[in-house]
Amino acid sequence: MTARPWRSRPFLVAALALTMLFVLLLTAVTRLALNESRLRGEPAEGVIWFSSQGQYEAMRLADTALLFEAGRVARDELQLRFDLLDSRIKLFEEGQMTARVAAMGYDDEIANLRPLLEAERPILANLTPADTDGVLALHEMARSIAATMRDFANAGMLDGRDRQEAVRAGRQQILFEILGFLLATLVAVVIVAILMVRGLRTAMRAEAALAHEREVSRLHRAFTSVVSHQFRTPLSIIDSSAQRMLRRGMEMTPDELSSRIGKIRNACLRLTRLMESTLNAARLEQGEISFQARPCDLPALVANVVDNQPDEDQRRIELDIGNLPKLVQADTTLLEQAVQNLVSNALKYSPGDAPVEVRGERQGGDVLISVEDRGVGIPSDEIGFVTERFFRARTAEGLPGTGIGLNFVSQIMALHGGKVEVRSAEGVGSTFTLRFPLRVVEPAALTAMDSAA
Amino acid sequence: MSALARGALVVSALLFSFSPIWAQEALPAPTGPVILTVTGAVAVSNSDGGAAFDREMLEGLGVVEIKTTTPWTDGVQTFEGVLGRTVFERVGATGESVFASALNDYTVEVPMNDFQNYDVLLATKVNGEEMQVSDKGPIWIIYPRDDEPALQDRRLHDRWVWQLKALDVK
Repeated sequence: MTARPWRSRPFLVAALALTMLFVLLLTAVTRLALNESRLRGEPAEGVIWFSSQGQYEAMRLADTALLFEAGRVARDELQLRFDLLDSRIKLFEEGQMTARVAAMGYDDEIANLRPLLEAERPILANLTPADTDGVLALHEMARSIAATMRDFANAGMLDGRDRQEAVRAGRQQILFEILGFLLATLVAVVIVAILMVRGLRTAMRAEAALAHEREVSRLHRAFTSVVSHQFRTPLSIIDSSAQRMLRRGMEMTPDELSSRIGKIRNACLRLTRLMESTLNAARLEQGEISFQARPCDLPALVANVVDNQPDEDQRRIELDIGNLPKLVQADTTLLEQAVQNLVSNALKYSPGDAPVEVRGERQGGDVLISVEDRGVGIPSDEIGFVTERFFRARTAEGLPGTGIGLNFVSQIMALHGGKVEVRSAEGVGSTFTLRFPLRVVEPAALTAMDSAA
Repeated sequence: MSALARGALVVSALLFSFSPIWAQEALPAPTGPVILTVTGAVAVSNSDGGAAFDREMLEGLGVVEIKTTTPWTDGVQTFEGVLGRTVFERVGATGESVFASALNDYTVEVPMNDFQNYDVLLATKVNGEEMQVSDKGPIWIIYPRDDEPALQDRRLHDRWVWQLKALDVK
């Protein structure tokens, strides 16, 4: 499939087929009309009517000849009968009947009638009832014309029947053809429709892919600027501390020296974290981090995260994890990362003396771990985006961060079959909650853990 | 005369049971062989059998020429004869239909409206020659089919009576 479906070969073929089918349909319909017209082209009265008229008048003449001989009718009556027969024969010699006669191969028979009649005409003028031979000759002539007319009527009947049969057969065949063409047209139309739909879908997919790529590249630019900015700050701290130590040299007091070294170490720690979160996100994305559910002591895990926070921040944290299920199936490493992220965020985005509450509980079939702060909060229009990668809320500007952490957390929750819930008010604070299904530990797994411990 | 006026005329003739003035004239007796007899609902007659016309009397009513093709001949023919409605006016005919019969006793019903609405001709000559009994004569009812598409219907062909002998008005 190309991006332009109307230029693709299948589409062109279908369009060509449609055009050809249309032409075929048109010719078939034309042929049908022509086929029907084969029944026309003869006089309305038809061959049979003309023949019967001729036969009737011929018999009347034969009849009248005998009556004339018996003296029952005058010569005028005989002449009238002769003229009427003449006029009936004339009907076969002009107009559309000549073509029908020729088509039926009866030209010779019809042509023979005129000489018979004309031979009798002069005799009739002087005929007397006493002239028995003459009267009988006239009688026989009329009889023979009647016979020819009868034969012609029969032939006309058969011919008409044959032609109607031929027309009927032709009509049937053409109608079948038309039906076939119509079905083929339907198929072609369906094919074209499918191609169109597929083309449209392809185009839509291409659009979506393009939009996605644009978004990704925008995110990457954002990430690059964020990361370079985030890396520059600790690096410049390390650099300035090192310069200072170089200038002062041996004049530095031990206190000064230890504070400078502390600054360098903090900056290094920040850099390490930055590296870790960036790498974690990339690794998770590329499937390098796999989810492994193991028995996990939740209260211990949360407490451990709190212990790992800097000393001056630990006193701000209020723990309430009495209702937390003790042993669940979870990926300890990933879950610890998620909790660590939420706790360090809460500490970072709230004032140095504001409390951070860490709570754990069980709610129905779910495990909830929430971290609440009284910090800068998230603008209501941006709450929906905080878990997107590299997204940072307006309120987070001026504080170090990559926009990777919460995205990583939401992916970890997805691996656990859960999600991150966010409640926040700008300038008041935020609550982030990890919610994932409780999976109790099988006894077998417990013994395995005991033996491993 | 428009069809409407003609219709009004027929209606008035029916309503008041008298015929138009020119139809009141007596019809003289035929002197030559009778070629047409008009019978039935006619006001004027000259014999026991109705109004009998010889060739001279008939053509004396006023000859009209019509050029047309027919289903039974080749090419355009020039017919001469008297308009049917002229004959009916002369004899004061009042009726809805006319039964036309031929020398061989072929009879067909023709609506009187055909004669009133169209220039239907009682033709006695074709291409300048008197028509003989041996060729559809002496009289052939001719419709001006070339001028009127409505008259090209093959269902009207049976009204083209040839060898016409009598007209019976009902």
